[in-house]
This record gives sequence, C-alpha cells and structure tokens, in this order.
Amino acid sequence: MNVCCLDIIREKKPMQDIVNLKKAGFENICLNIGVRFPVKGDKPEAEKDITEYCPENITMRYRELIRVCKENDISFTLAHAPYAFIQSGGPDILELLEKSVEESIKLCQKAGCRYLIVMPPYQDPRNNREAEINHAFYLRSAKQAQKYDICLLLRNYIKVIGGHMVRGLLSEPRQAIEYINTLNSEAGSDIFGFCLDTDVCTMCGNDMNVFAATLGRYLKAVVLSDSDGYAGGGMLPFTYAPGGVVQTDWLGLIRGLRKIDFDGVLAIQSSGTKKAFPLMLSSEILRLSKLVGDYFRWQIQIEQNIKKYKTRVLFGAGNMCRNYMKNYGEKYPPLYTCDNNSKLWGTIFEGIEVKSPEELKKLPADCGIFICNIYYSEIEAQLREMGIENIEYFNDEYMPSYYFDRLEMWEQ
Amino acid sequence: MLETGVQTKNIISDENPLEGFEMLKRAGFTCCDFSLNAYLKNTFLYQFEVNSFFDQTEKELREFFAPHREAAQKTGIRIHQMHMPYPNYVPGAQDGLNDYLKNVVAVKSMEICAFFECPYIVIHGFKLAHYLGTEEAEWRETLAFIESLVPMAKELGITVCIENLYNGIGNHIVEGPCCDAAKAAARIDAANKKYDAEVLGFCFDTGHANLIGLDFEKFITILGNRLKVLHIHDNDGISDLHQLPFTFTRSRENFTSTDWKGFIKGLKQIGFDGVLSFETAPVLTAFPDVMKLDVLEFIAKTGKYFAEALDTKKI
Repeated sequence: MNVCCLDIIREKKPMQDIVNLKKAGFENICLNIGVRFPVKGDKPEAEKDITEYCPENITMRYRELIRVCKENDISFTLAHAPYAFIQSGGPDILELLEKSVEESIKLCQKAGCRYLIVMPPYQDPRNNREAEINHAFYLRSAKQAQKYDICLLLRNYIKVIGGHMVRGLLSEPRQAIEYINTLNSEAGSDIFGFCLDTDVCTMCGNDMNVFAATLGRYLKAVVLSDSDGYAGGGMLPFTYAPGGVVQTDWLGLIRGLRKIDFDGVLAIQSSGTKKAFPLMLSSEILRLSKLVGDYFRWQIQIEQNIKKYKTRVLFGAGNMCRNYMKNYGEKYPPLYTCDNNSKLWGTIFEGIEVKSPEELKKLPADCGIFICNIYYSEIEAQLREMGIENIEYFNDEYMPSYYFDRLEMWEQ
Repeated sequence: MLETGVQTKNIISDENPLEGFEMLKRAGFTCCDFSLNAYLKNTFLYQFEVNSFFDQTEKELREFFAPHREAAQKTGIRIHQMHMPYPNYVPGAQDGLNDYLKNVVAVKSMEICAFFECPYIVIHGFKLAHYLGTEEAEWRETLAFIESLVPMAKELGITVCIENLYNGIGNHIVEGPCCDAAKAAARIDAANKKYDAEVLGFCFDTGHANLIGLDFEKFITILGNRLKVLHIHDNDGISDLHQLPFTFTRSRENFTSTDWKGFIKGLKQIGFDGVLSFETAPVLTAFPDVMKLDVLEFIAKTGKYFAEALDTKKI
C-alpha cells in the first residue's frame, strides 16, 4: 500500500516542494496535471495562458518535474488528468478534454505512474446525450490507456440541488461497479478502476464501510480528505472536529478497506489545511500528513501485523486486550497476556492467563509482543530495558466490531 | 387523487381526542399517522428509562384508545399508519429492557395498530453496525425482531414497514439502516415470500433521505410497490428538523434545496397509491399555538399540491 501526497507541486520550480516532501518522508506523490481550458466570458488576454497551458504542452511542461522527482527518488503513484466540465452556453471543450487525457496518459507512462484519475466531461449528466458523451469519452480514452498500460480511475461525485450537495454520478458503490463493468466490457480489458474520495462520501453521508467493501477489487486509490461534510474542504484527516469530535466516518472506511485487503494508493489531501496555516508552517503540515497516511496504512494492515508472527503475547489486561480477544483472539490466539499489576498475575482475563512481564524473557525469538495499553511509550521503554524485541502496538480505536460496553478498569 | 395525512403528535390529545381529529378534518386531511411513539419516548429509552404505559393490559390499552378510535371514526379520519415506539433495541441496555421492548412494547403496539384497523406500522431498524461491524449483521438482528412480529402481522393483516434512517458521526449525519433501496427491496421480497403474505413494506422518509443526499427518484423507483408509507418533511440537509416541504434553500437564488421534483417523479413512476402523509409535528411547536389550524391547513394544501402533481402530470 502506497501513501501518497496529493498536494500540487509547482512544475516550473519544483525543488522547494520536493525538499519539503522529502523532509516529510513522502516517497510517493500525485502528478496533478493542469491545462487552461477556455471558459465562457474569457477576455482576449486569456489567449496567452490558453496557448501556454494547452494539452499539447503537457509533456514539455512536466518534463522538469519528472526529472527532479526521479533524481530525488520520488515516485508518481497517482496522477490526475486535467479537467473542466462542459457548461451550457460555454465553449465546446470536448476535443481539448480528450487531447488532455491522451497527453496525460503519455506523461504517466514517462513518469512511471500506473493510475490516472479522469473526470468526465459532464459531472452531472442531465440527459441521455450527456451521459453518452461521457461514455464515449471514456471509451476513446481507454484505447490510449491500453496502448500505454495505464489504469484509468473514475471517482465519486456530488451534484448540487439549490446549493445542497447530494449524491451525484458514481456516488453509490453498485452504480460505480456497474458503470466500470460496462466500460471495461466494451473496452475489452479491465482498464478502468475506481478512486474513492472520502470528502465526497462525507458530503453524501455514505457508509464508507459498505462503499469500500462493495467496491472490492475495483478500488485502486482512496483520497483521504476531511471536511465539514457540507461544503467540502480538502482538509487533512482528523482536522475537522468541532468540539473535539471528528465528523468523518473513518471507522467505516478502515473497516471497509481491511475487509478487501486494500493494497492500492492512499492519497493524503491536506491542501485546505495547508492553506489555512501560515506559509511558514506548511512544511510541518506536510510532515503531519505523512504521519496520518502512515497511521491509516498501519490501521488498515493491523491484522497483517498480527499474523506476521508465529506466536504472540499481549501486554495489558484491560479493554484493549478484551477487544483484541473479541476480534482476533480466535484467529490469532495469544500465548498469554502480561500486566504490571501484580494483583492480576495468575488470574484469567478474557480466557487467557495474566502473567508477570518477567515471563516475556522466556519467549521464543519469533514471538511478537503486542502492547494493549495506551501507555505505549512507557511500556515500550520498559520492554526495551528488559531486552525484549519484536515490540508492536495494538490499538482498538478502529476495531472490526465492539462490545456494547467498556470495562470500568478502576474496578480492577 | 391521493389522500393526505399528518402525524397526530401535537394535535391529538388523550384528554380530548375528538377536538384534534376535528381539527384534522377542518384542515383538510382525510388520514393520519398515529404517533404511538409519543407514549414511550426515544430520549428516555436511550437513557435506559422506561415508563409504565405499555405495562397496561391489552384490555386497558383498548379502553385507553377507545375515545381516539371513536373520534377518528366520527370525523372520518382514517388511521392509515402508525409509528411504533423506537428504538426497539437499546445498545448497552440490560437484557430486561430490550426484552421488554421486543416482547411487550412491540407486541402491544401491533395490538393497538389492529385496534385502530390501521394497515401499516413503521418500525426503526436496529442501529448496531458500529458494534457488530457490518450492515448485514445489523440487519440480521432487525430481521429477527421483525420475524418475532410476523405471525401477529399476518394474523392481524398489518404490514410492518422499515424506514430509511441515519446515524451520527460527531455532529454529522450519515446513512443508517435501510438506506440502500436495492437491498431493502430484496429483503422485503424475501420476507414476504417466506411468509407468503405482505408482512414487510417500506416507509420512505424524505427528510432522512435529504440528510444523506439520496437520489429520491431513483430510491423510490427501485422500491416500487414495496413503498407503502411516506414520512414527508423537510430540513436544511444538516439536521433532522421535520419542517414544511419547500422551506429550505441554500443559495441566494432561493430554490428549494430538497429534491421535491425527484420525489414527485419517483412516486409517479411507480404509480404510488398510498397516502401523502406528513411527519411534521415540530412545525406545530415552532408556530404560535393559535396558528395551529392555519399551519395544518397549509400542510394539507401542500399535500394536495403533491396529489395534483401526481394526478395531472404537472411536473
């Protein structure tokens, strides 16, 4: 699973951004490809920009960025094709859109990027004609993508009713799968996949567990983005939390991605958060973005982390241990748990014996010790002091299931 | 023309039910949605508190509701649907409370429904996905509850209706039980086939659908004739406000921000022949009490607008 930064890199002078990305620990970024499309009401002076930022210049414009990234071991795991939506009474940009996708596909191949997000010409097709134009557009793009072995990703959209953002194109998982299946069938190969935008899911009140689990193998990338759930925001996950409470269904998303053993691209969106912070702190936001991305990857892969050990022992005899036993105890039974509270030694908790931490010294080398207690750092230091290796953290904030209650630990 | 109805909460009093039913009649309604849920409130249940209303025997409950039934008959207001108290399962509560909700409250609700000769009772599916991990596991629990009522439903000729609900993540609303029309349709078909009767149907709640941006037309069209009951009301897309349709706008152009066109199109496509029933009790507490009849008349007129739109293909 790749954690990728979705931020826009300034292609003309990329070095500063690349330095910041490297400092933050990112090794993967998204290639955001831009084109200046003509719009209704353009003034004559816009012509210069339209010419400079035309589809034909894509390869030339991004050549330097690709070179610098390669030199700095930064990979492109995801790309976003230029987009604009055809508007009634506006200029006919369909050909320009098609050319943009064609050039973006070629650029992806040069950049070694496998996935390209392609938006449709009509975000909210209102009649059969518009839906057919979208369909034909994707099929023509597919031919080029097949030639260069690039996977085209569709995504979920909102539509607007009187200012209210509601479910739009591909914002229901089965609808998305049906659409992709139709396109793939007509294209003759599985050239289309899906990119799930969590910001859109939040605005549409989607159950992300169901969305991700239903998409299954079709899901190639997830954009992790937070918002107020009403207007969108492109904010770093966990940062929209009035009263300290998150508004986005991260539990559902993690559950769904675990179910399908998601191994695609996790793209971290933080542009809204970066914009809100002073410029001098933006590189710190980038560092936090990387940590957040790594955290999601760790949570999604929590079971893989457990099963990589032949045997395992828990540290802690409280709610976290109880949740381990509920969710993984049968599949990955621990040898025992241990606790610093000597009163618990020799007792049975959740069907396993509670032992002294001293017992850990007798464990075989291939046994993992999973800390099931919020005092991770203290316990890790204690274990390291004892010469214990294979120390792992377990966490029950995003469990596959929960008890209806939590134990009042003071009773112990 | 389709008939119109409204929920009885804040209109029908136990002290003088006739007065409330007469008001409904004067306002222009021919049907009502009996708010049985007002007798055991969800706010108390979530605190694990329960009153003694449903401790009454079936005979006592019949006696209690006899004046209501008589008033409805006298005024010609048909009790078309009723709402069972909810939740029917309180996560984290003692088994005693949940057993009581299942074996006493639900059973007696069915009996009261039959006493009113009401063909539809709306229930809330269990909200357990957070704990059980999947929507499927959650549905299994709801289905077990429904199946416990099926013999009664079949015998009494009542269709139990599941409703599209929501969940809260912080202060934000996301989809809850029964928000997938295709799944709901398949589940209703399976239950009705299994029991060889129309024991299960659907209640489409426009306000809940608006909160999670559902496509009204598509949802209703998928449900088809499984759609038996409506809860019509409006909100700002943020909170479950149960206000008048067409009230909310979210742009300076001031067009409605709820998909009422989709609602009408969907109902028209499936040939909906039920009651246009409003779940707008909070409107009556928002307006001054002296305006209650005016407000009810306006709600009834809104219902007539929908009925005409469905009848004359105006939209």
